[in-house]
Amino acid sequence: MKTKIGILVIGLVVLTGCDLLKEKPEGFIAPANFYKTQGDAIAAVNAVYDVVSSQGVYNNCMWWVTDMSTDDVMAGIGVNNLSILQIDQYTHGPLNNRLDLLWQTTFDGINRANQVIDRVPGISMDVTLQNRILGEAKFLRALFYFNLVRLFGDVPLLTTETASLADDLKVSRTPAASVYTQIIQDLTEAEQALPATMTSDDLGRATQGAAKALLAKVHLTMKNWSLAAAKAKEVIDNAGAYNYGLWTNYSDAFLTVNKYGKESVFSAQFASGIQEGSLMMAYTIPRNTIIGTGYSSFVPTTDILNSYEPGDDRKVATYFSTFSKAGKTITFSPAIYKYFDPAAVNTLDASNNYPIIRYADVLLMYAEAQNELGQTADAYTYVNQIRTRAKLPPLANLSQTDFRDALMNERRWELCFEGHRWFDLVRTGTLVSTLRAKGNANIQDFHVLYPVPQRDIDVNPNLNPQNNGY
Amino acid sequence: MKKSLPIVNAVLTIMKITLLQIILSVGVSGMAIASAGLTFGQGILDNVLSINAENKKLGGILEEIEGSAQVKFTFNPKTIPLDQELSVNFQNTTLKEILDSLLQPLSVNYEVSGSYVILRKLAEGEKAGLSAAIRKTYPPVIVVSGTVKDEKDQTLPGASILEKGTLNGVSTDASGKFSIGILDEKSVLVFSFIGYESQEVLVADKTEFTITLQPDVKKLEEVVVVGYGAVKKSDLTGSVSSISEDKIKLTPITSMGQALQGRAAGVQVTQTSFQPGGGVTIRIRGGNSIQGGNEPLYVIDGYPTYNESGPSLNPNDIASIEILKDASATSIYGARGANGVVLITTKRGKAGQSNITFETYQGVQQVRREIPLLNATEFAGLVNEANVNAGKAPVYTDAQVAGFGKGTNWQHEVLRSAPIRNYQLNFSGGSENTRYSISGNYFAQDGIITNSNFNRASFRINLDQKINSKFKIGNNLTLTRTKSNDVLNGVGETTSAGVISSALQFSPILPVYNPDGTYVFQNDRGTIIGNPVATAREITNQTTAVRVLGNVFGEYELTKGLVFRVNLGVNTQMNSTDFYAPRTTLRASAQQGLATITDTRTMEWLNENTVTYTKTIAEKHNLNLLAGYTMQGADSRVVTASAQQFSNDVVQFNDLGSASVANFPTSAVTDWGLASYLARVNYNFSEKYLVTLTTRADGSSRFGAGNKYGFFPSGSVAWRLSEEQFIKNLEVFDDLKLRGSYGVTGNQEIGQYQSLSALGSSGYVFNNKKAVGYQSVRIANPDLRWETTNQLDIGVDMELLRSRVTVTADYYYKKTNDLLLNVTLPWTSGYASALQNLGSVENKGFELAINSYNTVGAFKWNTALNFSLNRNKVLDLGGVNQIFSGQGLAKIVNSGVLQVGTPLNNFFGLVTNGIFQTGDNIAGSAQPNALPGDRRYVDVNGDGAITDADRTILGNAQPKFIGGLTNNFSYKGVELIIFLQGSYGNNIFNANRLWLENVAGSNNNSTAVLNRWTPTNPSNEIPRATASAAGGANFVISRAIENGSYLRAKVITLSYSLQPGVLKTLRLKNAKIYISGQNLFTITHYTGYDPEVSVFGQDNLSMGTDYGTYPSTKTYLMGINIGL
Repeated sequence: MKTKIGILVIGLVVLTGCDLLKEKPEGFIAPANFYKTQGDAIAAVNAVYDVVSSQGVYNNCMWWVTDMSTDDVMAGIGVNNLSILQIDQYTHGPLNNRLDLLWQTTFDGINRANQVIDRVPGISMDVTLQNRILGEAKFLRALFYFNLVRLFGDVPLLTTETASLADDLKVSRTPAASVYTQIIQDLTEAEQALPATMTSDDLGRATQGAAKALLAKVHLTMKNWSLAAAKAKEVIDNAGAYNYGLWTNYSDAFLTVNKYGKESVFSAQFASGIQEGSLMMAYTIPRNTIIGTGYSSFVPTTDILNSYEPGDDRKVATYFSTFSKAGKTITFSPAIYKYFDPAAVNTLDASNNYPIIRYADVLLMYAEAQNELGQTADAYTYVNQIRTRAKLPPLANLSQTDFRDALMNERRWELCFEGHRWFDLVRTGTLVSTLRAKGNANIQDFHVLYPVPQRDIDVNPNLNPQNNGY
Repeated sequence: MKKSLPIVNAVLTIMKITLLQIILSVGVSGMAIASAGLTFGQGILDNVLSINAENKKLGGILEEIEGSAQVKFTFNPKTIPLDQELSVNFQNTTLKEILDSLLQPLSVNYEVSGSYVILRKLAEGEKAGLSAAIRKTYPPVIVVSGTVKDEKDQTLPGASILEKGTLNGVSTDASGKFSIGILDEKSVLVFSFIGYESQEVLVADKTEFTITLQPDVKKLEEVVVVGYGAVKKSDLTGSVSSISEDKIKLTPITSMGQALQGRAAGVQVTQTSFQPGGGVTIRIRGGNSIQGGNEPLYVIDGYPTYNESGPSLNPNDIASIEILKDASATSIYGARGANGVVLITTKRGKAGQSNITFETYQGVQQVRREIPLLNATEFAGLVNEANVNAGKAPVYTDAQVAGFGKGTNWQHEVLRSAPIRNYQLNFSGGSENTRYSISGNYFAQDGIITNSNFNRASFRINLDQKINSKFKIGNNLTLTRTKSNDVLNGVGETTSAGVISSALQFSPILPVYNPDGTYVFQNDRGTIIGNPVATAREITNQTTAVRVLGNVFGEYELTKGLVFRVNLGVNTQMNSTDFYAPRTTLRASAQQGLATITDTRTMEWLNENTVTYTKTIAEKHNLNLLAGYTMQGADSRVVTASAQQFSNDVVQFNDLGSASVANFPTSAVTDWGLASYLARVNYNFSEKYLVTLTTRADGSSRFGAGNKYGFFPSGSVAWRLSEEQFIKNLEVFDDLKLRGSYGVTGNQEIGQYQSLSALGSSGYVFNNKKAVGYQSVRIANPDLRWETTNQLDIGVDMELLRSRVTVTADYYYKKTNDLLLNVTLPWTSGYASALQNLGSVENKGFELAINSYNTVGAFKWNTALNFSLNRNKVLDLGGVNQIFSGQGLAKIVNSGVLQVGTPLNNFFGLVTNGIFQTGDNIAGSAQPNALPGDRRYVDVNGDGAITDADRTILGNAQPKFIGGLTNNFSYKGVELIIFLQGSYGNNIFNANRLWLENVAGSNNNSTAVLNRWTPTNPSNEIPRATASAAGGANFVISRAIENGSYLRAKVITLSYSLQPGVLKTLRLKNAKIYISGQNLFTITHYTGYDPEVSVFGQDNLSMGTDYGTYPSTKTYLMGINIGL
């Protein structure tokens, strides 16, 4: 009897002991099973795009640092995050949680892009597609680094993925010039690898035109006027092949039906009803009872509202101050209308894309570069395409300096609330003087860069020294 | 079945038979037994029966006779040849004839006593005829009878009566009566009952007895349940607190966790929410862990399960709770023992008793206090003042302000008096071989917030069956269904804001309803919150949980003292949460109706195989050995489906398909496994010097590939000084024991798959369609393992003054190493953190429990006191000096900080330093832009500016000490119980205050702001009103950190038990009626709803935060307990 029971016990132990302790993940994919097929390669690069539309980048954080921080936007009644108010008022510091999230998410995106760049070459798949995917990853890595280097200056340059805890994670900051070199290299490679257009279910991916346009913007920022002009011109000259052009009416550019249309060069993509919607609508529309949830957080300043030339069609298309639905009408202080999606499932889940580069921007970039190169005459052609569409008289007979100022205004009216204003003011060296002139008492010279998040400096002291002034 | 056998131990065992033999004999021999016309008593031998067996062992035959002839054989199994195989065939033969022919050849004599037949092996040479022996017992004997009662004068069924020096015995019947035939008047009767002192009475010439047994005050023979077994209390070497059923039943409780509050030293229980069915958080000897779980392991009737403090276990079923605290006691649970272990034993049937009890109470709950808020006129004044101070126009005209009056009291609108009721019916009892306890429970509690409620229906069946002297089987099975509707408890300043935070902040100027009868939709000042009445009433958030928890066990005695036990268990839980928010609420107005269904299914199993061996060598060396192998595993699945835009609010979550927009469904699957080896040696020499050695090796699926098995040994010694002559000579101590233990335990509560690298899914839009992406979300850590806690415990147990005073005191020191810590990684790596084993935390403390019988006799007064203090300190954080921690609230990102050298649960923020007054040197201060009336902060780092860097530790959520005091007074049937409980030295972060004192006019404020600063009222407490966009909480400020100390009358109960005479008339065994009040008074300086609060529940790093928490209640109850 004892022996029998003994055998039974041992049997139980042997039978069940082996497998019980193994971890058998069923609800997620482990890296060992991934990066094997063409589908994996596509999914891997899709994950990099995911960062573009995340709250850490173009679905929240970038709005504050690029527009709220300027004379275009002020914090409305709905702002309940102190960090946003700090950015609005230039009292932000290294503990600012919006900067924190922006830094974190952008580096997450860079790591995801690095995963693609490291792993996808090892997958045996269609070579053209493989090159395109690598081109997309490099385009996105360049976009992320371009944002970082403009916002924070010297940042750690990482071009391979973080593979294990044994890697050296305490990286140092790379001089901005080297970061720019990498950005230009990535965009140059992307420009080669990416196709002229995307079709059907690939609509929204980075194209050759997007790479060239972004490269133009990089050169413009670096004041490489001729390179900037050349790249912008390549885009303009290939407008036919790339399907680029201006819509007849300014407002057409923001209709959700036109999101894949001729004016979109590269955008953060959103769609309503599939949990991939944009939050911008709720943040821009007023507190109300008939449109839906409105935060009234991202509010146009009186300064920009008063800055328009009479008759500017863009002012009508950009703002609204009354709304009617089901027989009820409400009126309110002017709010931004660019991101209004009447068909949205709800106001926090709208379909509007957030434009990163519009074709109008390319025309203005080219005009700016040409003016700086002394080719003001040529520049009029392009800036006036924009003005004509806005139903304004063309510009003529301006000095180079006056043209420069007129162009800045044109950029402001044309591209407001699209994440350009702060960058434009900084690269033209006018941020501090402009805001100070408009009554911002807190702004200091060092505010042309944001502080590196304290959290990362605490974890990695190699990120010291902090940016000047913080 | 009233014929249990209270005879001496040697003959308690009935037959030497095994299950296998029974099966074989029934199956093979085809034995048949029939009987008819039974009589009892002395004529038992004339009973006629039939029995037919071939090659069957004597033991089996005797058992068959027992079964059909209603007799009971008693004998010493060592002397009776039970294994002798016999063939018999009797048809309608008297028992006497059968026994004669069966036993005579075996030289076995027999005697009859009552329904017992006593067998005796004849001595060598003793060949006396059987008939002579029978004749000896046959002559009429003296029959004596009587009643056995307990100290409360209630009858004792199942007490045993034995004629001293013989095997002649009976037990009392259901009404405590007995009748026994004895040899002569010189006989001595021994009356005994478990838990009572035995009494010996000389029969003399009396024939009628009323015996009152006194409880055995010496509790040393009490048995204490420990992991995988039970030991005599006197043999315990570890630190274990016991909570008995009568203590548990003192207070009507909804969940097991509440039963622990204030009852045991070293156990801190905090009710995290007063929502019906709400949970508690429990810390045994402080928190060890930062990232891993800190809740103890629960073992319910041998089934280990984590986080069992909730309401799914019916507390009325609990017979006792044991709390294992030191390493000696907990290391038998290895990698799950570091946070302490709570052993729960549910009620089982007792042999010889048949009890039916019915218990019920009905009560009403009310909010303990309301927070005083501004009325409409006062609020309108604040709004205007705030706007004017901010350079804006006033919002309301003076006439409007005056006309608003009191406005809406939103707390009144959402709070109510709510009923609570409980019904418990229990059947228990059993015979020597079969014991049962069957119970049913229904408990229903409405919450004091409109539309919140909880109810539980449960059944329990606990059975024990002794199949033969070697083989026992049994089971525990409980089926529970709970259903609750929880109101939103959110702390956001958004659409998900909870009912209470909304009720506190909503403008009192607005009414509940518009003139057209619809709800006023949302707050019309700055803070975005929905109508709290609509949020409470219109949103459905109901959870239905069905649970099956059960195990079956078998015990087989292989040879004397060696017992093999198998335990198989299952724990299945199915939860569904149905949520619907209609368009009339802010929560779902944008979605035009939002429905979500979440289904969770968990299947867990257990197999434990243990062997115990008990032996006494040379009467001095007492040895108990335990060894075992156990396995436990689980898989669970969660599925969520959600839809929005319903055409109306009729079908809600019952037809998601009728919505126009379907949200993406989600699902997840997890599983885990644990395989363990355990062993324990208990040795004592003369019950004076005691040693326990314990170890467990735990293999867990949660650990990394390189670290699957952890080894957790402990050792303890105890010295019972009271057994030494020199202590005995003092005549002070009835018991005195010194204990010491040291050992290692682990904590594995880190969730599943944390050692593996993982890819997460993400989505992006191409061509308006969702495209799926995969990215790495976690770095692998193959070295991941358990947290290790080393604990030293030194304790003393003593009993003084004839056991009237019992004292237990313990000192402990715990150090936890290899903390499971989400070590912060630089974000530049692409990852926020990685779970690693780094850092350490220490806890040290002192515990004292005193129990005293102040008066005995007719008026009884008993006092029980427990006191504990714990000091906790972070020793190492994996190389960094501090980590911001604690949950954020609106604009506050982290409310706490972990710092080396300080305890866990620090509150972190700015120190307020009064208010800037007119004439102060503001320009020269650290806040040069401030105006008179603005709040002033301390420039901690002295850099001349108030920044994030000036944040400092403002307080800590951990108490300096906690305690409980129960006084129990009784006189005749009247009993008064006063249970006080308290906590001293802890801080509470009252985050409500950040909003209720924000003087921004964006939301309602507390009446404290009536004292706000104005040029004519230079307050130093509340700043001037100003409607800045930054209004509200930006930092944790010291003003929001409050003293959380309290002392409260947790329970006061007055009861009356009916006296025996009345009971007899009513034919009841016992009956008690009582009234009881819970939280009747509380002494505290805390200004929130209740100092017992933790809005973030069991979050280790966010204890003691109050924001929008469900308010606490005062409860008044009336109840009745009846025993049949």
